[in-house]
Amino acid sequence: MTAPAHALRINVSIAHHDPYVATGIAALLRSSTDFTVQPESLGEVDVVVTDYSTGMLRAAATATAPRRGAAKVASLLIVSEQDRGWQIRRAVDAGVRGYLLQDCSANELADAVRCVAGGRRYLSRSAADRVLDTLVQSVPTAREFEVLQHMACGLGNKNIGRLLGISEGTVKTHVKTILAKLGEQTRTGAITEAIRRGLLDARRPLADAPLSA
Amino acid sequence: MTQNSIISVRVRHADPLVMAGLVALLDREPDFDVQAASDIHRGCADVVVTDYRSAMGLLAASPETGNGADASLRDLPRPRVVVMTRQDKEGEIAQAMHSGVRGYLLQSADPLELVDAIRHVARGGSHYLCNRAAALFDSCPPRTWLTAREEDVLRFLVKGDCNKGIARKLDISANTVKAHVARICEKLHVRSRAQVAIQATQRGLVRA
Repeated sequence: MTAPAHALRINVSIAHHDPYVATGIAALLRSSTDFTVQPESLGEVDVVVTDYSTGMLRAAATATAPRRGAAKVASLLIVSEQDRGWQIRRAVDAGVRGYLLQDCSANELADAVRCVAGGRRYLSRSAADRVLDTLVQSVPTAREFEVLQHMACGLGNKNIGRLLGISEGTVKTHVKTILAKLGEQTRTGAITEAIRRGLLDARRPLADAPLSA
Repeated sequence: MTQNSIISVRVRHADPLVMAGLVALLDREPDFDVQAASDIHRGCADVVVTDYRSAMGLLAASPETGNGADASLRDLPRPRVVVMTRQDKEGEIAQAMHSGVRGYLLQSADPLELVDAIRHVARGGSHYLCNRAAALFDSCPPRTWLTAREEDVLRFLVKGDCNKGIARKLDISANTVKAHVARICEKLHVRSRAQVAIQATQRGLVRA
């Protein structure tokens, strides 16, 4: 590649599972002169635009892989429909540099790619909004989270206590704290709110916990 | 419609990225005349490809029976709408099909499926669902659909209201609410209110 003449061009590669979004991103970036869209196999890439799960996997792989000399690591930019505050924070924690929601404009996409390529971070306005929400919310502790997961399966305090090996009274205290932290008065309300914030996954309420103890 | 005729496809999607992707992908088909439209309501095309909300708005504006108040709308043929969306909850799919959407594709669907759907719908066919949407749609037979009243009850239940509270809000007796909740649990195959809340959120049974 004859790089020097185009020193300011940003090499972008797209790894997005949604074929329409992937094609759209490529089409929009190609229409601007400062981007080169290319497969990663074709050389050094500045930015990889990706979906949530691919982005998380790659971030984890980058974090554990040994750094090979001066080899440049491409910055990850997620474009996703996942708009729960905690999910966005988990992505940032994992090492993702930029986060856009899927309804972003073409201009915002271009801005984000430039920003991330320049070594800075980028959150779209709505993503930033959700992340800021999480800063002022109290977070359940690990143990409270376990209790919350069992609550979401419809278990009563007695059964939760038996599963976790603690007394019913302790469970009751945890539940009370959980309700207070989520600002709800009932168990059902707390579960709905936890799903809304992205603390619980509605599809897999027991995501990280064993099904039977 | 002959084999070689051109199919006019009007594309309008709320997400600019998906919009650009749809236009780029459909433009590759030699027999498609793709129009990127800013106003979905104007003009006519053989097939309209759009997002979920626009589709529902479009179909609501052109009712199937000619008794709409607006006479100018009455004469227009009902648009053949193909939805391209991320809404993958069975409640949402059922509602769209019920509203007269001809094709329903999730964004995970292969672009070949989309091209297929457009040809199918342009030919006058109805009910083209991508593989995953079809699987979701078939998993909810009509007898498991909630009644309008059960949906009312469900909406409050998910927010965490107790039976008495729901009864007060809907102006019915607590025993009636109890019966509704029992029936909802039965239809969703769950045994507790918490599980009802999870299921309802997961399957899109409550409209936000």
